[in-house]
Amino acid sequence: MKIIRKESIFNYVNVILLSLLSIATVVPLIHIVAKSLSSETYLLAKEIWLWPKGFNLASYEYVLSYKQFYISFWNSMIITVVGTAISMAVTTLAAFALSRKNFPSKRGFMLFFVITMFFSGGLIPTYLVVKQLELLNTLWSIMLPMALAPFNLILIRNYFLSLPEALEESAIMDGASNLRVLAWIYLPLSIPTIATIAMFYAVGYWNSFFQAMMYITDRSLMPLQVFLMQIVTNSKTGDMTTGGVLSELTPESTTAAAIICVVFPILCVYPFIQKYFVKGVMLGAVKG
Amino acid sequence: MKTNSTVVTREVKLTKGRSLKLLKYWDLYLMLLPAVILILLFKYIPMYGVIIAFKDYNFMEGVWGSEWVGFQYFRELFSFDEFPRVVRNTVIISLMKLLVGFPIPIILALLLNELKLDKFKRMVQTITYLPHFISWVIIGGLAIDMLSPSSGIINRIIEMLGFQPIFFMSDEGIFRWILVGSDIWKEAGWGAIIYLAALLGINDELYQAATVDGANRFRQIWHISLPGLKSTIIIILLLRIGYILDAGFEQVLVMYNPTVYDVADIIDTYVFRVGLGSMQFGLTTAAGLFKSVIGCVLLVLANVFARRMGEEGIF
Amino acid sequence: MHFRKTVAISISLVLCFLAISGCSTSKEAGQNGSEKTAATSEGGEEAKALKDLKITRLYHGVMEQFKGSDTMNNNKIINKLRENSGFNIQYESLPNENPSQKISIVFASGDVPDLIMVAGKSDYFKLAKQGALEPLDDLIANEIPNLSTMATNESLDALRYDGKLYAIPYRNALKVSNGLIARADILKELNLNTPTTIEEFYLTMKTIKEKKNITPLTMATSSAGSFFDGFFPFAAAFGVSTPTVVKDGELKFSWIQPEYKEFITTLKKWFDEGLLDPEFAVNKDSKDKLINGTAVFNTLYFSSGIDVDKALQEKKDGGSVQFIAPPVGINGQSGIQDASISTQYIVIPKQAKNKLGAAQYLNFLYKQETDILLNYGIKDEDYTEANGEYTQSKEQSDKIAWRSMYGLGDTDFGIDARLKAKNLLPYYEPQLAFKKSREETNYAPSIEAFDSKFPELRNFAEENAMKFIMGKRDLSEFDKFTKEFDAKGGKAAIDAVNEWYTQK
Repeated sequence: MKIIRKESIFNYVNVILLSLLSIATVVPLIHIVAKSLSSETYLLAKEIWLWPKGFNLASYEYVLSYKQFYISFWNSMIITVVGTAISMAVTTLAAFALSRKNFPSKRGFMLFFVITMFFSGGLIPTYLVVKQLELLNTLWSIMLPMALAPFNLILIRNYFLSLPEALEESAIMDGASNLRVLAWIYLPLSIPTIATIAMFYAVGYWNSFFQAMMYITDRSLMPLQVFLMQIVTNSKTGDMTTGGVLSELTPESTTAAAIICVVFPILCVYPFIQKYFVKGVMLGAVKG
Repeated sequence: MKTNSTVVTREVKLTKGRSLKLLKYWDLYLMLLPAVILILLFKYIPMYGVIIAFKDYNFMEGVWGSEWVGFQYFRELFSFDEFPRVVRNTVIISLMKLLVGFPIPIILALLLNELKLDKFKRMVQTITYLPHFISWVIIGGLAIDMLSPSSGIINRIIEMLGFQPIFFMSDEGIFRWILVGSDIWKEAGWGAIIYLAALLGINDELYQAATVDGANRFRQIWHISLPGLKSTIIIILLLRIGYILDAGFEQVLVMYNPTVYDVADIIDTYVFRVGLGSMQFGLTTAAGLFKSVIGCVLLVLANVFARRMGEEGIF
Repeated sequence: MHFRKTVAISISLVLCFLAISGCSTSKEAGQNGSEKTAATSEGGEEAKALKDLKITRLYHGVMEQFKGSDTMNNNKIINKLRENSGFNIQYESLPNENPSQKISIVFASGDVPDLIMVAGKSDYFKLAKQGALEPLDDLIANEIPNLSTMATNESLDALRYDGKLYAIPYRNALKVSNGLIARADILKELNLNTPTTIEEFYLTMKTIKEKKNITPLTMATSSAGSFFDGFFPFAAAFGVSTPTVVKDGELKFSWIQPEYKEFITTLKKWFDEGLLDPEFAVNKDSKDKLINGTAVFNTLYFSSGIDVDKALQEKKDGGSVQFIAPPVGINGQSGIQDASISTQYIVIPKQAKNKLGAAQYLNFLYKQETDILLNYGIKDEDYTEANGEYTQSKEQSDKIAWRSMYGLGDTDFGIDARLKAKNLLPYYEPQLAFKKSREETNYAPSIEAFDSKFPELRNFAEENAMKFIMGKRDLSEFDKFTKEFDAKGGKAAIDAVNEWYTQK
C-alpha cells in the first residue's frame, strides 16, 4: 500500500516536472511561429511574445515565392537521404570491426579516429583536397567530408560492446561470418541506437551549410541552410553600418517564416524515428 | 653471413605473423576500410595545414612555400593582456556547463524512461528536442528579450512580486549562469536522446525482478538504469572534458556585451574580435592548435584514468 | 605498457599520414603550375579569351529576389549587359557571412575569377602585399578612362601599396549613414524645440523625463564597435567622434584625450540621472523604444527611419520621427559620420585569365548608358524617359528588383533613383547639410603597426568607456586608463601613423 502511494507521488511529480520542461522548451518555437505570422510593425516594436499580432501569411507567401527555396529544398533532401545512407553503412561496419574483442590494434584505430575530432588542417588544405578530387560544385563535396563522424562511431561501438558476448559465440560456432553476425544478431538488437545515430547524421546533413558555402558556387546546388543563412544574416537587426551599400534588409517576419520552413521538415523526422524506439527484438529470448 | 640469415628468417617470421593476422581478420579490415579511407582523405591529408600556425601564410607561395616564423603567433597570442582573462573565462564557463549541464540530459532521460503514459512520453520527447534546431541567434535574442529590465517577462514577474528589476545581461555575477541556463534550455532534450536509446537496451527482466523484490523507483533507477547508462555517460563525459576549451563561441557572441567582457569573453570570441577579418591565418590557427593540444591531452589523460578505473573508455 | 604501445602505433600512423599528405600536396602544387601554363596558352587565342569573364562579387540582398525563370546568370538585364559589353560575363556571389574566408580559399586555390570584390582595408592590403593582385595603374590609364567619374585621386592614393595601385574602391554614393533621430511628435506635444547644443539637449531631456517619466535617450551598443557609432553625434560635440583627432599638427587617439573624458563625464551624468537608457550596453536594437514612445532620441541608420515611421503610422497614435542636427558643443563643434569612405574594393587577381577584359568590362560598367540600364532596366519595357525625366512604376521596379547587383560601384544618379524608388529621400536629404567628421587614417596607406593593433585598442577603449559611464570603473581612473592604453600599444600605433601624417 505504502509503496503504491509513493509510486503515484513519484509519477505525479514526474509528469509535472516534464510538463514544465516541455512548456519551457516549446516557447522558442511558438515565439518564432508567432513572429512569422505577425505584421512587421509589431515585430519592430518587440510586442510579439507568443501570440501573433496583425495576423497575416504574407511572409510565408514571400518565402515560398523564392525559386531558390524549392531548388535548395530538393538539394537538401538528396544530401540528407543519400548522405545518411552512406554514413550509416560506413559507420556501422567500422564500429562493428572495432568492437571485436580480438581485433588487433583496435585502440590505435580508435585514437586514429578520435584525433580528428580535435585536430583539423583548416579550411584551405581541406579545400585543396576537395578540389583535387574534383568534387567542387557537386553534392558529394558536402556528403563525403562529413560521411564519418567519430562521435557517432564511438557511440555505436560502445553499444555493440555492451551486447552480451554469449550471443555471437553461438553464432560463430555455427560458422557464421562476421558480416552475418553483424546483420543477423547485432543490428536487430541495436535498432534504437542505430535509429538514433541515423537521426544524428540526418540532422547533421540537413543543418550543414559550411561545406556548401565553401565548396559550392553553383546556386542550383545550394542546400537549404545556405539559403536560410543568407536570409538570416541579411536581416540582422543591428542598424549601424559604416560605409556600406544601400542595404536591402529582409524583414524579420520573413526570416521567421524562413526558419519555420527550413526547420519543419527535419522536425518531422523524430516522431518517425520514435517508432524504432522499441526494445531489441531478440534480447529477452537469448539472454539467460 | 650467419647473422644475416638469422635476420632474414626473423623478418620472414615477423611478416608471416603479421600477414597471418591480416589474413585471419581480413573481413574486419575490409569493414574498417571505407571509414579509414574517408578519414585519411578528408582529415589526415589536409592536416599539414596546422603548420600555418608556425608560418607567415602567403597565398601565392602556398602552405609549404610560406616563410617559417616559429612560435611568433603563439607569443602574440600569449602576450595579449586579455589572454589570461579569456582562458580563465573559457575554463570557468566550460566547467560550469559541465557540472550543471552534463547531468541534466541524463536526469531527463531517466525521468522520461519512468513515464508510464506512452502518448505523453512521446510528446515530451518531441517537444524537448525542438530548441536544438533553432540557432543561437534566435535563442540568444529571445533570452535577452525575456530578461530585459524594461520589457522582459521575467522582470515583469519580479516587479509584480515587489522587487526591483534585475539587469541580468550586464550583471557580472549572473551572466555566466545565463549562459549555462540557456545552454541547458537549448540542448538538454537533444542530449537526452542518446541516453534514452541506451536505456532501451536494458533488459526488462531486470526491472521485473527488482519490482518483485520490492525495490522502489529510486532504487531501480540507481541499481539498474544508471549502471546501464554507465558506459555512455563515461564516453560523453570524456569527450566533454576534451572540449573544455570550447565554451560555446556562437552562444557567447550572440549574448555578451562589453559590460560583461570581464566574465564572459572567451578565447574564440576574443580572437574573433581582434581578428581584423579572417585573413589572420597564423593567429587563428595558433589559437585553434592551442585548444586542440590541450583538449587532446586532457582527453587522453581522462581516458587513461577511466581505464584505470576498469572502464572501457574510448580507446 | 599496453597503452604506451597503442600510443606509439597511433603516433607513427599519424606521422606516416602526414608524410603522405606532404607528398600529395607537392604534387598538387605541380598541378597548379600546369594549370597556370594552360591559362597563359589559352590567353594566346585572344578572340576566345576575351569572351569569357568571371566576376565574383560580395553578397547583395537583392540576389534572392529572382522570380520565375530568371536566374543570376540568365535574365534580360545580364543578357543585355553581355550584348552591350561583348563579354560573356558570369557572376558569382560570395557568402554573406564572413566573405573573407571564401576569398581566402579562392586565392589559395589559384582558381580565380577575373574580377573579385574584397571587403575591408586589411584584407585588401594583405592580398596586395602578398603579390596576389594585378597592379592597375597601366590598365586604368589605358582601358578605364571612365573611372575618373567613379573615384577621386585621393581615394585611389590611399590604396597604394609600394607606390602601386591594386584596387578600385567600390564607389559609395551614399553620403549619409547613421544620424540622430527624434520622435518629433513628442517634442511637439511637450512644446519643446529641437535641442541644438549639448546643454539644450540636457535640459530638453530633463523636461521629457519630468513630464513623461521616460528615459529620453536610448542606444544599442552591445556589439563590438557600435558604442562609437551610436554616440558619434555626441562625441562630435566634444571634437572626439572619430578614432583619431588632429592636435598640433599631429594625430592623436581621441579616446585618451581630456575632451574624451569630458564626453564620458557628460554621458555618465545623463546615465546617472536616468536620461540615458540603462540598457544601452545590452540592447541589440532600440527601434522598439522609439516606436513604443519609451524613448525620444536614438542613433539610427538613415533608411531605418522609414521603418520606424511605417510602424508608427500603423499604430495610429500620430507618432513620427525626424533626423535632427547633431548637437553643437562649447567650441562650436558638431558632426555625423562621414559615410563616403568605401570599405569594399574591386581587384583583379594576378592569376586571372582575362585581365584586359576585366578592365574593359569595368570601363563599360562605368559608362552612363550602362548606369541607366543597371538602375532603371530596359527602356520602354521597365521605364520611360522623356526630356531627361525617368518614369518607372513600383511594379516595374519590383519586377527587376535584382538589377543593381550587377553594378560595381554606385553613381549619384543611380543612388538617387533607388532612394526615390524606396521613398527614402525625406530621411536622406536633410542629413546632407550636416557637418561630417573626417577621419584622417581613412586616407592613410597600410601602416602595419597601426592597422594590426587597431581592433584590440578600439575594443579596450570601448569596454572602458562603457564601464566609466555605468560606474563599473571610477572616472578618477581615467588617467590610469590612458596609461594602460599607451602601454597596450596605443603609443607605438599612433607614432607609426604620425610618421606618415607629418610628412604628408
